[in-house]
Amino acid sequence: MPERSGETVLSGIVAAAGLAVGTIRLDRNDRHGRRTAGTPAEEAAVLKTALAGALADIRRLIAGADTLAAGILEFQEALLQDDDLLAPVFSAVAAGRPAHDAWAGQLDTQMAEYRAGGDAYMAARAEDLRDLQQRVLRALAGGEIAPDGGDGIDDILVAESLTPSRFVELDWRRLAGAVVRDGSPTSHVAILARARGVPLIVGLMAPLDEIADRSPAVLDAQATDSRAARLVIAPSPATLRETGRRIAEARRLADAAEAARLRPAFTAAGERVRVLVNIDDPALLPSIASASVDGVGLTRTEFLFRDGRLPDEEAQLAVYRSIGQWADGKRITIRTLDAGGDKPIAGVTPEGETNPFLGLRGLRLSLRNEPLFLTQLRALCRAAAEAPIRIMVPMVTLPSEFEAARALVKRACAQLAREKLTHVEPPLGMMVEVPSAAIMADRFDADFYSIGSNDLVQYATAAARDNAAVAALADPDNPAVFALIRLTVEAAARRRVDVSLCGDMASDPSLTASLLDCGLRSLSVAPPLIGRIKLAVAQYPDRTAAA
Amino acid sequence: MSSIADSSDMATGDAVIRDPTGLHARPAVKLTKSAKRHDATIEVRAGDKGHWINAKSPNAMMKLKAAHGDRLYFRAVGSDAAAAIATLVALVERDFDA
Amino acid sequence: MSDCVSIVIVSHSRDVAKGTADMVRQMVGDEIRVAHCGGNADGGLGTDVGSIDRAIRSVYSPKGVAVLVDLGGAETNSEMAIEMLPDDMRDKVVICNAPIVEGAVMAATEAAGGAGLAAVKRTAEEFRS
Repeated sequence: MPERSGETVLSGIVAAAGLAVGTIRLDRNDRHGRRTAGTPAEEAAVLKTALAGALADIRRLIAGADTLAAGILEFQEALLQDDDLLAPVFSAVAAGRPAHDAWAGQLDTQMAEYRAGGDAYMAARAEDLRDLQQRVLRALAGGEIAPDGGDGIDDILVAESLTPSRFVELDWRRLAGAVVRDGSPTSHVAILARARGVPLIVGLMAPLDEIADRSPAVLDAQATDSRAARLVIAPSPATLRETGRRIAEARRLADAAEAARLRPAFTAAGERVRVLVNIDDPALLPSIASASVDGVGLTRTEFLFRDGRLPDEEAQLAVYRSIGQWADGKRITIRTLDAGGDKPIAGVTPEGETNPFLGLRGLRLSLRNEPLFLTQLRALCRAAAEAPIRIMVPMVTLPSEFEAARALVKRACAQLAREKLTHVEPPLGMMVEVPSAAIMADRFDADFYSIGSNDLVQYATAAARDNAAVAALADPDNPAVFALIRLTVEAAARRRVDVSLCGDMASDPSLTASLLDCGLRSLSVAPPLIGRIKLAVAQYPDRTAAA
Repeated sequence: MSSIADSSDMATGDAVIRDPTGLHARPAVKLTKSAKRHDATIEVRAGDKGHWINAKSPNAMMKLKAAHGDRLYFRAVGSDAAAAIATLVALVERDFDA
Repeated sequence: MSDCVSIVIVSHSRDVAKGTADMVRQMVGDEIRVAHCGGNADGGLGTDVGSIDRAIRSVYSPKGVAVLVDLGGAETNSEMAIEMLPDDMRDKVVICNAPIVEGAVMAATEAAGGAGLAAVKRTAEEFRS
């Protein structure tokens, strides 16, 4: 994009997506004034006061912050009480070093240790130390954080860096976004910004001295394939027009998605497509309107087994019942425990497997742990008497495994009958995520299929999503993946059973058309994407395609 | 599996880190807070060849860089050494009540 | 109700913006479409491009929109908002160089009589002298 006359375009990296127009506000809070040192005794006293003040400030921020922000700040709170960290500082002060020097020096040394070795997580921890270093240095210099004033709203904050605690302090209803020189898309501030929907650019490639405070600007961090972001200072009329167009388009899309959200989904040709929802944790149910979905396509049950807990039948039954109540008569599909692989559970999953992804997980693990499996199946059969629940088993490879699972469901029902506990034998279906199962899907006597695209893609491409070196290979937009999906859909058609897809692919609007091309007419999506996917369905087949 | 051994005012123990992301900030802080509740001097190391560090220092704990599957070894000296070890080992095994 | 020029009022103060809009409706009637915006999320002082953009689009008519502003930032942000409009709308939105309350009332009065955008702007600005 060529720079238009009069404007200055600075590059950076998208840390939190968004597009904003506003006025630049240079934030100089990471600078602090000079101070003159006193005697060692005086320096020690000043340092103690500054540390106590910092601790009080952080605690205050934690008290008012959401869980995410609080978790990030608690590390700083702990550091302020770390004797091993503080002792060398006080020793240096006793030996005559000024408090700010001793403090800055110790924190610099620690930060260097965290940053050494190139571990991204440790580098992000260094950010927390820097945040703390600056806070105490400011207190030592007697500086106050400038009150969050400013001419008007829609300011775009521009600073050297933005620490997590400073982010939490600022009023983001008034600010349009932020741009910083350092930082990274994986830092804590980036996580906070994404969670709050605040556009954030990091790694700005220009010194702050070259940026005029209060100039109008466009913050362009709209999510695209490239992570390149731009800060356009003194935007030309042409740039403003284009930005206006893009903002209007984004707004139109959001409004259309919101309007589509509560209505059933139909393709442009008038075919009904069922849009279901994936549920990870029933705690999130109150924020989803059951009227916005055609049912629950996937209920993950791993959350029940957190903290090393093995909930008994009554505890599980209570949870499945509450999901049934929320669903208000809509069909719910619950997946039995899918542990192992990247989801270890204390005392249940094996340790020391060299290849956990290809190991004892999902249904394989459950079949080896009958008491655990039966408890869950019994609870599900009892809940099925009160709501339209179906059971789904994960990681199915051979028809014999599926038969074994069905036999256990029947055994659970036989037991419940003997014990005179109300229950129903629900439909039993399978996740299709092992490529061999997709290829011979019609050999399984499943009451329905649900394609688990996350693992299907990884196994089919033999590449892990969480391995940066090969993650690009695990791109779901791959003809082989669609071929496997099509095979499953065709098998379902021949056997006259239901088929759906519940992996991340279902929640990607850019893949909706391809999935519908495969013959899928049922998708289970992540709650925030319900509206967008319904919109994508309504646009299928693409009306704008050349005739 | 983990093990605990003690004799009078000295105790040792170990446990494997279950969290797939390793020893992150929240678990590290929980460990140090738990350690601080005991009088005993407590040290921890990652693997049986690592350096021993002060289990009550969040900074030292964070720098330990213990990963998923690593075994943490604890040792404690003091009147409540055995209790300290038992508590810390249990905390790691419960995956820090994540 | 035939098509008339619409009015948008932009003030740093939400109260002033709303009050001015109320006065216009009171004195001129409901035939003229009036939108107002101002103030920040806490009820404090400020203006923002996004709100101005939404206000303009909410009352836009092909006959045009006259925008009345109070101090500095309101004018700058209004200019940016107008620049962000699509081609076919942009030329039909003008900022009037007039005191916000008197200008709004004069503009609305002129617009109610069916006047075009240029005449509405002129009338609002005549009030200055």
